[in-house]
Amino acid sequence: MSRKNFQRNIFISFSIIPPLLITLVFLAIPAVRAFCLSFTDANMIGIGGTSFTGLENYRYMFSDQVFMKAFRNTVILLIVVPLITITVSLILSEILHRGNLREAGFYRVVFFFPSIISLTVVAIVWSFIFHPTMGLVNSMLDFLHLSQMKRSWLGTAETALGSIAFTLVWQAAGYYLVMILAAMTSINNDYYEAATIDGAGWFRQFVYITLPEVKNIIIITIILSMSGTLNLSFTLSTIMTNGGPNNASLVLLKYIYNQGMTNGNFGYSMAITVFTLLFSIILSIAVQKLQRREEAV
Amino acid sequence: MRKTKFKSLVMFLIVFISAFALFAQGSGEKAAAENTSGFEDPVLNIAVFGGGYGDEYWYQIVEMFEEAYPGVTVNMQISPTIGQIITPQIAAGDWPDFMCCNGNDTQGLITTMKREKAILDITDVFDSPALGEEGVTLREKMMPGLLDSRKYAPYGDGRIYFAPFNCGPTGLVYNKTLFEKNGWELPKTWDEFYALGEEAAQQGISLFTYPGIYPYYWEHMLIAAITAHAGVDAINAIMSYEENSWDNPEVREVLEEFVRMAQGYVLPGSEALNHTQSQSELMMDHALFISTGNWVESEMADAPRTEGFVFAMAPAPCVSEDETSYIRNDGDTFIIPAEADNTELAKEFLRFLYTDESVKLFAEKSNGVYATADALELVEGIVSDGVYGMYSVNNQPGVNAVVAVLDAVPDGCNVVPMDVIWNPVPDVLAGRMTIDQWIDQIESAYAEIRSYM
Repeated sequence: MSRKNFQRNIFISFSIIPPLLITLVFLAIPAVRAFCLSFTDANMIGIGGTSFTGLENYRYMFSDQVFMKAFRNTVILLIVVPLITITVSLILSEILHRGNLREAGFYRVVFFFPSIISLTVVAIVWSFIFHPTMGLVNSMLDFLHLSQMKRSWLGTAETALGSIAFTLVWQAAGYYLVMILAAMTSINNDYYEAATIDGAGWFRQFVYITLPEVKNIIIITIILSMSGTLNLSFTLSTIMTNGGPNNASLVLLKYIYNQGMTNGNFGYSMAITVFTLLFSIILSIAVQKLQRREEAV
Repeated sequence: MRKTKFKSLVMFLIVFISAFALFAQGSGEKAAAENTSGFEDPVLNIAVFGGGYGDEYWYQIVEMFEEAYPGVTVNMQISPTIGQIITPQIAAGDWPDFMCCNGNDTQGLITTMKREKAILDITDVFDSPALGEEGVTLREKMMPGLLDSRKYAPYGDGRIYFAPFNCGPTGLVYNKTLFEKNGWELPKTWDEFYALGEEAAQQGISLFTYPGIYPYYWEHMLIAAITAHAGVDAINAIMSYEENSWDNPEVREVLEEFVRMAQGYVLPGSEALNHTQSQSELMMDHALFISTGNWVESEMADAPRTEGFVFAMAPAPCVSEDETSYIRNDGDTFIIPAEADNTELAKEFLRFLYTDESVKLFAEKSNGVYATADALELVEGIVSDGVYGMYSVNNQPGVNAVVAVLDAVPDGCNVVPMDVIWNPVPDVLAGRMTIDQWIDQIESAYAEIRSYM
């Protein structure tokens, strides 16, 4: 081996080993440990002995009403939020892409802003926007003479989860807009010109040219948005509603936290974690399968 | 060229790794002076919950302790999230010698320790003489009756495991000035409360507000209200998950009185507020009462308020005129872990914390009051008028104090009792849930808890 090659290999090892070690120590081993813990009655400080309880935690999970509520809420968010987010991003990026707006750059920056703000700040700001007495939403309803629609958005079971979903969409739409817009700008302009000559209007061009061309990026953004929704719903649910009222906006990650960190039940909370992990893996596989089938057609 | 780059990369890695190693070592212990304290092991490791009372008292009391016991070194970790910091240390077998714990244990560590009996029995400390006082045991120095409560003697055998820190009243907080301005008397019964509510409504003021996002704040008022009508035994039954402890006619009567609140007595929108937002509504005179604790003054120190606003505390409403009013008392605690290395020095530190100097220092630096019998006399003029006034409610004639905390749930049980009891309140007050459904839900959770006992 030449000296140059040797140096190259050393450099590659130097680059690979630290991240590999970090992944192993902080990701792989804890994940395996979490999986093992989910079959035990372990508590948070590892005292009082840990005994193997088999599938008991998993059996209990499906009889636990609070878990079922958190699961239902999470599923609703995972379906609704990515769908709306990506639709909004698509529409906005199509406007920016084809609208020939002079201020396009400005809008791009403005739409992207929410995704660089700390999510905690987003949650606090929106909990004030939804504030029942001095919030922007209720004040605007007053201004529009729609006072009968005023409510305490975060304190009512019917609207708490919806308010969190809205905030998630607001926070993420700009981020996916940039990704989709990048894909759109790479579409050959000739297609549009040809379509225009053939008499196709804006909507038909969008459906028959833009959408098929950015289909792949849409699937990727939906998967990203689903994992984002799963993660970020914890912060929003914790800060904006604390899972309430009466668990109406409780999500799986928040319930994992409650069981693990408030109740000290590591075993049970790990069982929910494993379930959540499996569920999100299945969901993203399903989305990818859907994409492949579409491609095959 | 490439070689130099490679070299600088290696150099960078070396520097980075050595800096990391240095940093990791840097958090070690302080150098100890010569040990003349009389304690074999002069190093005390303490973990302190540093919440609304600030850090200053703790830094100074540690310094005073080190001065009083030459050679002793105290290593302190202090943080509002101390539970999260020390849990991994404990899991690795590294226990602190002494802990100051948050009263409501948001990180679950203390609940787990209580459940696993990982706390040292410190009855002997309270039976030993108080520091600096002749012929008085520490037990006699504490607020009377306090140490009998299950908060401090959690296993019902009279042995003390938790030492009281700042046990003080929690209940209905109101603006004294607003009451004086309008010539309103403090109501005693539920009927009088709602009558006052009608009167206040004419000025556009609601009777109550509450943090709907954290509905467990209602415990400050409701535990005392249940005790006033159903008695101390009934509340103890609730705290130890006994069968039909909620499905008890007297408890039900109190809940029915409580739910009358839904008839327009609650500030609209309260169900969507958090604790500071709802406390702000009180301080702007949008509501007459809120259920919270004596810490509210320091917690809201920087919040805007109406002119002349003074915090005051009232006991919970009674069902009838001839009942004794109750006020709930609660606070933070000290514990010594059973696995601690230096329990002797930790016990001495605990005695030291109850000295008059320490009680006054706590008042001066944190505007707080220790749970000792004569603390309120000692701190008069040092703490603010609001805090003094709120603590004085304990000394009012015709008012009894009750200390009640939920027992730790048995090992392996997944029920979170605080959530089961209090989370339905916004639904009950909004009419989405009946009292029967509320009680049934709690009773079935209690049955599940009992099945693990």
